Amino acid sequence: MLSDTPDAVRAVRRWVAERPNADALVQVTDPDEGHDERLTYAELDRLARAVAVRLRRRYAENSRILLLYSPVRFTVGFLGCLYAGMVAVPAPLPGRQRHEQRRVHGIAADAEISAVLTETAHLADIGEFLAAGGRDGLEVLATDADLGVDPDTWTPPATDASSLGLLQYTSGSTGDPKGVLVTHGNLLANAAALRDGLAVGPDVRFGGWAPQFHDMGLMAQTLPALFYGSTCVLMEPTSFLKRPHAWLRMIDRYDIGWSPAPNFAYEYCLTRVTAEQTAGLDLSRWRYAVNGSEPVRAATMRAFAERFAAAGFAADACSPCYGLAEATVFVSGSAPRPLTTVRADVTGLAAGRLEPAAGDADARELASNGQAGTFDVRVVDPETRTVLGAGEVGEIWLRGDSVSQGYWRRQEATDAVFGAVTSDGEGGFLRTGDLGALYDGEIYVTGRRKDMMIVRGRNIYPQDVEYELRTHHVELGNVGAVFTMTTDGASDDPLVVVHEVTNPRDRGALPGLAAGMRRTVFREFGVTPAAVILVRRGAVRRTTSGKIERSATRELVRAGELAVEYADVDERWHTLVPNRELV
Amino acid sequence: MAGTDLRAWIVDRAALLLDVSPQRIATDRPLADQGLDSVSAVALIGELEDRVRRDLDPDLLYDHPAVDDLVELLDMPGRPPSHAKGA
Repeated sequence: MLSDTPDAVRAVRRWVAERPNADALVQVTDPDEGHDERLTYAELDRLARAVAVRLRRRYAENSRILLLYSPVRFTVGFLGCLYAGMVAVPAPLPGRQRHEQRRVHGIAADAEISAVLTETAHLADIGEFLAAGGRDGLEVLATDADLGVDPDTWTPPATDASSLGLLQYTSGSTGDPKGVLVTHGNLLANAAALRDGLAVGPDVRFGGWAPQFHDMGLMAQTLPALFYGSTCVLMEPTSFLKRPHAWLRMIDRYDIGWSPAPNFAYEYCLTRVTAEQTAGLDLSRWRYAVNGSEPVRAATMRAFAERFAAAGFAADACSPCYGLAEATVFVSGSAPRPLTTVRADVTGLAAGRLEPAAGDADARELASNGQAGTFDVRVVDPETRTVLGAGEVGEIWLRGDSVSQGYWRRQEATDAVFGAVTSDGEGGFLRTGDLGALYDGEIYVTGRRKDMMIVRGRNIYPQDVEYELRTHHVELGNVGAVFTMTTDGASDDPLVVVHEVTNPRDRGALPGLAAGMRRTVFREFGVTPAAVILVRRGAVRRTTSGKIERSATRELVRAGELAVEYADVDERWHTLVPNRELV
Repeated sequence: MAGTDLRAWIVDRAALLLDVSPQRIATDRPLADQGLDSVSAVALIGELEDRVRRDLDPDLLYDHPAVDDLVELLDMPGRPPSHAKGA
């Protein structure tokens, strides 16, 4: 059905014609009280046409338009860009942190934007922000104000499947933003892949708090709803962070069947939602509790399912998915079914094989990410480019209609990641940078290639070491970062553990704790860390969505800028871990 | 609500979020320096909203980083007498 639709504008407008009075968007301003603003398909269409008419007065087709909105208000501006035949550039509101502001300026410069769309509430702040970055000549339009145009003068753009719809800037480093080229064809192909791969029925309503400037929030939440004539119900991410139970209440109140979130959000609900807050909650219609955009922990999903079973949550609603912006967003998942996992043998993983652990052998439980139905998938040795067999761990390579053509005006980065060719001459693959294996025909992700550590010929995954340390040492906080330092001349890269402790003032206990952690790492992974560094909570670098930034933490260690509570450093590595506060 | 009550309440909540005992929270030092990360900061603001029954900016801790700053901002009517102005 969608494969016959030539562009995203016509995909949405089909429903404008067929069900003009159905709710397209519900913007929830107070999830606790159920206060909301609704837009029908006809209303959303009229607003988007007005934005498009206004944009076309001054800007050419294919102009890049920066979108800076509160997440729930984003969609009108986004569709307005597409209706105008222009390219949407979603970005987070710049906020208060300097690195966030630098990032948005970096995106604006890289995309060579022509104008900014926002809402009245942020107009003044954005004007100041742009002026501070030397961009005060840019036009900033509030799309919730009267645009002074007649939406009925709108004519459809000359777009087709190959037309660029948006630039998706991934969470890449602040200094080097890379915009993934996403065409109308990519958007439609990916929505179809998601619906078919997870067998999403026509009555499923979408919604949640995943922000619209993020690939998951836009392309695995809002757009599938609009392309399939359903409803998308949105709340602000900060409302979720303030009151996680509000997310669950919203799912119940608005009859949401599909709501995606990263693993961290499910953990957050487990620790912060009280029994009182879940009284009377009915989660039985939540068919797709999609877990994506960061590594899925089977233990988290199982605990979540158990905890909320009393509220009617069905265990088969846990939907681990794999995806990335370079493939639009969605790659693999499965229709509702019991959580499917493999207790993978740790020794086998270190040797590059995914195989079930026998008996009491050390195991790491991996959640299946289901099948990638519409993609060609290969697992490839990243060095030799040899295609590996079932159960062998390598880099995941993908080919298909959802895969982007590359990064905006970044030929070198594009060549490194897109259009890869296997050693036997098959071409056109995207290198995901993720490591995993195909097992029973399904994708299991074992880690990120750039985070993977090779110590004494063994592959060690940092998240495994962090997890083991927390399991064995209750004194540790929830966040740690394990990485290797690169060295010249040494035969092995030394492994460094940085971990938060819950009670840094208990100084007398820290040396014993660090020594015990060394022993754990040695026992579980056969490696002695060069340094165990204990820090207080908040010291390990994380992104705003909670992802651990191992390389940023490594740079803090290298520069001697980490606030250390206690450091246990191997004598031979003292020069490598320069810390003024070493004891 | 008396300022001392609000102060003690914020200290208790911050201590819970930081997994430390309330005695360890210095009310005159930025909570971020004592280990409060950005997610926990927003969680604290959410709890404060329920307590003071006002909508608060999720970035409140940028401008009012210490417990004492928050109390001063939120508890104007009930300030301790020594801080009260006029009568």
